[in-house]
Amino acid sequence: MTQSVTQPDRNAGGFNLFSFARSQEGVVVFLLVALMIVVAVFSAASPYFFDVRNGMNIGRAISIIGIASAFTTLLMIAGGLDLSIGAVMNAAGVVAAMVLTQTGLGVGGAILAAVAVGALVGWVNGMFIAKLGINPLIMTIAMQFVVRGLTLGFSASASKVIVDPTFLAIGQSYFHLGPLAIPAPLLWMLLAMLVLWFVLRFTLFGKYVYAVGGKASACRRAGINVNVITIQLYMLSGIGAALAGVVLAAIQGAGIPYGAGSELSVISAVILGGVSLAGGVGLIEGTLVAVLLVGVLKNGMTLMGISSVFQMVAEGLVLVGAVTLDRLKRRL
Amino acid sequence: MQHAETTQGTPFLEARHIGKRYGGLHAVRDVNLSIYPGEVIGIVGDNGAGKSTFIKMLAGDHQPTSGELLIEGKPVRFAHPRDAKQAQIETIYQDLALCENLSVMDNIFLGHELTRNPVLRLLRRSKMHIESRVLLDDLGIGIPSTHELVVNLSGGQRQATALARVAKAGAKLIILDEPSAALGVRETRALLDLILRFRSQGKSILVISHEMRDVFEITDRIAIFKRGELIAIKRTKETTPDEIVSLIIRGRQ
Amino acid sequence: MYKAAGLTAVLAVSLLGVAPIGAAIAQDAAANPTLTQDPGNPSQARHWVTYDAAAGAYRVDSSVTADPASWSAANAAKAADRKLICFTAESEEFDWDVVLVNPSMRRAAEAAGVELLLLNNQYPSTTKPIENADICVQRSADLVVSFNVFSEIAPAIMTKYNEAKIPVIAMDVAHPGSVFYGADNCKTGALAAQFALQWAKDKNWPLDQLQVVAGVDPAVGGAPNCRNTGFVDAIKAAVPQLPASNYHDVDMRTGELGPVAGAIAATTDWLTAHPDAKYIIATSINDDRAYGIAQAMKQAGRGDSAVDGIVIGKNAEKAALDAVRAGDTPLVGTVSFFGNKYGDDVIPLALDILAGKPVPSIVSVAHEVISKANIDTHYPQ
Repeated sequence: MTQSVTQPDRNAGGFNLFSFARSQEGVVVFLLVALMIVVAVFSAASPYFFDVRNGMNIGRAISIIGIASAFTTLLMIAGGLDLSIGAVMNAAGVVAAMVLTQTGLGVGGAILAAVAVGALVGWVNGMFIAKLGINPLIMTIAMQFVVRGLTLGFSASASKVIVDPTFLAIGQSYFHLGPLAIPAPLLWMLLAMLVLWFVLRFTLFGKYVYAVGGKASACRRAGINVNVITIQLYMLSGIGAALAGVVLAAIQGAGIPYGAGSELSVISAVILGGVSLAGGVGLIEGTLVAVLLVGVLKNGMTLMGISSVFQMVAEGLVLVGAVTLDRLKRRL
Repeated sequence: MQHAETTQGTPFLEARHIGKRYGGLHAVRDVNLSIYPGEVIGIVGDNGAGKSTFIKMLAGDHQPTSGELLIEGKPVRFAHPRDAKQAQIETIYQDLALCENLSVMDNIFLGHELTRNPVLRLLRRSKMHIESRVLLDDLGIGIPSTHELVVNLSGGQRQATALARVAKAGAKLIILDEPSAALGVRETRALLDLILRFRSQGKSILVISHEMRDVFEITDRIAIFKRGELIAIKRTKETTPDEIVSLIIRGRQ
Repeated sequence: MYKAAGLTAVLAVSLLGVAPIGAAIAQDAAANPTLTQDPGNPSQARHWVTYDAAAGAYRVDSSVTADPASWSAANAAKAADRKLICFTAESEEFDWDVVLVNPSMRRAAEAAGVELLLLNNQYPSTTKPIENADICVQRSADLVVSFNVFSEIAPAIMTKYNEAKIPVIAMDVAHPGSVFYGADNCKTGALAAQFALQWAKDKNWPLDQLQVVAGVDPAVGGAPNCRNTGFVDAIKAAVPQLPASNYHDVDMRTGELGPVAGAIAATTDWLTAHPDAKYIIATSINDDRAYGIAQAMKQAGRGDSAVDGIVIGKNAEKAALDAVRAGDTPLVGTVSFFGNKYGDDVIPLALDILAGKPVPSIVSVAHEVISKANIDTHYPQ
């Protein structure tokens, strides 16, 4: 086969359905189709579902999980895992509330302090995992305990109520786009995903995220500083959790130290979106559609009056279905 | 033959009395070997003869406990694989060190990506694809698309991708560890042609191999290791497979 | 029902006046002020209030002179048309909700011809109650019954309902600017203390040697914690000679193994540290903890309710009622506020509000200690 030397070549085999189904883009398309089917079913089943305001409700409901999962998607593509996300979220909310009420640093200072907490936790995770080779599962579970304990200790186990209207606007205001009132949290989620999509797709850092997830030893041989990238990714995951925690605190109107940990919802959304636990594959688009799919399922079932007990079952089954399909498609 | 008398002038790399001991065990003992530009040297020997330890010292993976290395006549110390790379020595181990989830182009440029904008460091994707294509064509490597993921490539194509990457990195000495171990007949043929093409570009090649036919086809000299020592260096055209096998098994007569 | 969480008393106070109640015209507000106080403390003054749908707020109605406590479900309005009441239930997981409160709400709604949309707040989630508020608003509910136990997120929830001009009845934990229905936490503590002292007298225990144990959870805020402090305060008042060293707060916050296991572990440790403690009178914020305390005493061989001590629970949940009935553990009583009858009050209260009739700003439930003596009356087998 001879090729023109100066032309960058396209996929040589032309379009191949099987290889597309196996690709990470194929997962996203599959999830999109699943999402459209679910939307169609709920629209038929409930008169309240297919409605702009309900769409915005879904958007707000998924925004916290969405923000955190967007950031940790990068980490998981690189083969990492962060179970301290939920604890960092609570810590960030409490820190932001305390800075807001007990210092004169204002909203900017509160957000910066929260982000610093997330970055610090991520840095500790990353240092131990990259430099000492501690298993990420164990390290981040340990940090989850440490962070949760410190948060409860510093806050004396009491929620910190926030009344600053500027801060509350982060979670409770709307952006008006013509007739559309978009909840601010949804916008933050989309913004975070857009930025991270760009990073993954177009930058050298994004390329290294995939490369480290593919084969870290090969990257080391190629002179890439894998440790630094690993630490940066854990820091990003921590920062993402902190930002989610800030938005959550603004939605709730309080920094709550003992909220239920949401790390498992975050991680299962990322996996549903096509990121393999072994690393190397995945797209932000996949995480977005996965978060949407779970959000639509929960909302639709609620509107249909299906007990939340079965919603939990459904959420579990969707994840099992997704990873099963993931296994099966490798045999194509 | 145009490469008949390569062992003259300054060697690209010279190992002087190189040794490596682990406690009381001599993995490699007092090895002297010079590698000249445009020369292919085969390294043969039984398992545990010290071949791997020797090349790992050249690659900077291991540090010698005695002796010294010279690059183009100047002494060097490799504390890290990075140092060996700096000295334009590239090693391809049997695992090939490819990211299978990435494309051929990504692997060729891994660690040397072309970017623009010093802050965002945006990838210059199409430029890298074009350069990869040119490189593959120059080397006569039959990979249809630089977009193809390595996971979808055959063993020979992966081997070729690894070699293309090394060529891209501008290696002057390429060390290959059992490159044909996992290849079929046709793929092995293509690999040998590629190695010969590298030689014609003036690169030095060190090949560890068990395949006598391959060794005799491409090498200029053959170094025989036994129990951590370099027991003989033979000019390929002045020896026979039987003699080499006998040296491997029985050692110096 | 309070498994964790809440707000400290200080923070509850800071909530006062923050309640985002719809804008009211000045002179109108002077004549008929909107309900702005947090009725979290049932000992606060009770008012008659009516819902002002135009303002999206309750207004104090000073024209009614009757005692607010005289409000009765029996005289409530009937629904003129089919109303939609959104009930954001605490949980669909815990006994208190699944067996008692939620079925009572469903039953009462059906009887009154009201459509009930039950949404699960999924305790201990602090995000689900807010998401459910969005759904209630989107469904244009006529009225919302909010069973959200996290008082710190109540303002965020109320902002949504006030904007949508939907009247709210808050269940068990006060929401600023809403009508309150639920238990008087401090009173449950006092009732438990009364019962325990009577028990001690009946058994001829030396009152100055009582060991007062309160199973506390620091993650629970001021309002629910009054179930403990109300108990302790009542004992102090009745037995002033009891030394301070005989009062013990035992930390029983919910661990990963749940509230019962946490209470067992904490109590076992306390018993180990107090090997000679007799005449224990213990209580906690709910029956899970009380049950755990009783189990730990029994397992330690110190569970004889005639000499070792007794436990009085709160909520009258099934496990506690079974224990009270069996009488083989120190758990001899539990303060009931009849969660199984919540709906019978709340749905009529909702209908009165929707009919524009004045209702009390605070409606308290009945409280009674359930013991072997009266269990078959209230909870026949």
